[in-house]
Amino acid sequence: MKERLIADWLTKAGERGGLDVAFCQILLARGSRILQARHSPTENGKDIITIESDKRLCAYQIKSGDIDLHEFEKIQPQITALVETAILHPNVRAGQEHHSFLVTTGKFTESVETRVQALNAAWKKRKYKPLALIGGTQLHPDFMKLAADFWPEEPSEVSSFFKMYLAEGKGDLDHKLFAEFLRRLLPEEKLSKPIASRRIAAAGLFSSYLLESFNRQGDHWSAFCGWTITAAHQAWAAEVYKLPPKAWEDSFQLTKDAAIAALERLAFETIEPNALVPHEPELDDYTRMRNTVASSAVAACFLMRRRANQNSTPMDQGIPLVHRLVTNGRVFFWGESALPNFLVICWMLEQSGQSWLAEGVMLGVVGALTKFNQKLSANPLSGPEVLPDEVFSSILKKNAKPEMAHGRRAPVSWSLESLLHLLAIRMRRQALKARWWDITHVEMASFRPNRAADALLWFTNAGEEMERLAGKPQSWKEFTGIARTNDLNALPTILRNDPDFALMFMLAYPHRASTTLVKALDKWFE
Amino acid sequence: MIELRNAQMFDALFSVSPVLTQIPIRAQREGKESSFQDEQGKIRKIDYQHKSVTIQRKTEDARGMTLEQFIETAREPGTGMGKEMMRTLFQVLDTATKETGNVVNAGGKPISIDLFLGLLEKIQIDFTPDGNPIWPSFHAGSEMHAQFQRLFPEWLKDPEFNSRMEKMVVRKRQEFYEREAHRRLVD
Repeated sequence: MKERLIADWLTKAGERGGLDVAFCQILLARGSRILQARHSPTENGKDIITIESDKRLCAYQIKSGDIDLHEFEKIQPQITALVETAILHPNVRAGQEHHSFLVTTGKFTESVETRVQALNAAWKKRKYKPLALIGGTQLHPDFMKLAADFWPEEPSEVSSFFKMYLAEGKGDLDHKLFAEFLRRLLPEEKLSKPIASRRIAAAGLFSSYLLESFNRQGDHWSAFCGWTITAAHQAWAAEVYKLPPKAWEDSFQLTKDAAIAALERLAFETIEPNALVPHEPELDDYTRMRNTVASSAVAACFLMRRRANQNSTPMDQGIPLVHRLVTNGRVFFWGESALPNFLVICWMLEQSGQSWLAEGVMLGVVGALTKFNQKLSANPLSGPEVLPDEVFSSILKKNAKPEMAHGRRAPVSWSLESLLHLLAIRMRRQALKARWWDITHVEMASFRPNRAADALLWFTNAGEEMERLAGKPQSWKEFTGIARTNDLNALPTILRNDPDFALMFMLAYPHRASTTLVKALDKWFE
Repeated sequence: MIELRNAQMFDALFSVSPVLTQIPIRAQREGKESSFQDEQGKIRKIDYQHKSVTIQRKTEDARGMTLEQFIETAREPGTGMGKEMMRTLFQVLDTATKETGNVVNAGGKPISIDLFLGLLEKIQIDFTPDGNPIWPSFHAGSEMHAQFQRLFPEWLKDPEFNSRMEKMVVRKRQEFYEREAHRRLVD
């Protein structure tokens, strides 16, 4: 089964967000140090650059599918650059020789092999190292070896794994099932450091298998969420197993990079002209949900690039788009899982000089929460654990078949406290004063895991859910004091140390958008 | 079939008492501990208790149930759990009212106007935006309930009772407005 699944995956895996990530995990498992793993016009034919365990400097060009002579001739300029141009990297001595590899998921035809032999002979004369070909059949044993002991064995686990592997790849990522699979792969038990490290790498490899369909179908948001959930679990394992950085950081970084790449693909697609035009008949609420998710991807990329001191970024093109979507009511607060999307949009608006609009959006959300989630509300907005597709399905189901009326729901809000603190930090006293009466009628809920690291898990049974009320009366001075205080120790180490990942984490885990995390991000991305 | 069973089970549970449909419910999402803040600002831990009901069914070889039997089987644990919830609810209420001193004891005597108004005095009453009281639900034993149904229409004809009720409503309304006035952001 395992062999056939890998063989099947190799026939489907794309070069970006598929084979490249999985292949890097294999290289790490072999003891290689990855200096660079990216696809860009400036890569000079080198998608991956490594220093192998025997100190050899290597460069890899990654492709997918079978390569015949016609295909090889098309990519020959990249191959020439791969072999002939020197590696420019701070950790590489100028003029250092490197070994070159062309890697693909499929096969090379005989004519390609003959052509490469001829080229190698010519390169040898010119003192270049020969090009080596690595096809799918050579990759197969390496993939088998890395995760050999970690495949699901129990029938129910095997069934869940196949369900995920066979997903259509269009919005049907089952976040909970995916996280459960990772949790089984990274159990909370005493593991030797090498085994723990291998399991962390295997998590990246299995995610390559399970996220391939989303990558192939262009569902970048699901791919982003899947990679981010994987990276969060890797960081959780590292923190709980107390691993040294070299045992996990490279695997984590690869996974994080795959998540960023998926987010950027969505962001770049979104800023294309007419990218948000529906391709088939659909309800407007669905269109607005998609607009919200897509513009939050633009906003998140904008914020991360700006934070990296890139004053002007390609994402600046997204500013007028996001502004237009917000002012025309083309975004949708479908439920509390929309809070992270709305927050990144607000932060982007603030950074582009439109604070008044951002604060208006925040106050609008406060208004919606105090209206729909106050204690006596019969129809509250769904909680942060209910993702947009589920919200939309339940809207459709409600219209089709009225639910049996049983018991009253006790509405709470998981987002209100964060928004109140952000508005207090922004000194919006009058606006809050006007709404305080409504605010006091909302139960503000939060969850605190017993161990900070467990916030990285999708679900944990060890923790406390708390419901609190706004002060009656509430001193403004005291409230601003509380809003400006933040206990970062309540966050897992990776979120404290890596603001970009914390931002990605909030988007992929809306039910973990705690007041502490939101305020930390507000400060990091101001 | 499972959907039908669950629907019947919950229907039976909530049919045990209208009180159960009035209590707002939220399923805990994560963790095993929980706390909330009451209207007085006090933080209270929730003491979760494991509750179960047992049912017995005779089965026969190669024979399933009729629809009626299936529904009855589905409703039985629901009814059992509903009764268990009501029992626990009254236990909790008993403890809470004793703790706060909100207990009115008739001492075995029939319910009187004084006793009834004394009961209302102990309760916090909210009002609609128009100023009308939102009367709470009262729970009484069957004997007390019968007495109340007989006596209350007579009390309503008594001008003194109406005058005392009116004065109490005015006072409760004032207390409500004072409470509501605290729902504000101050310096």
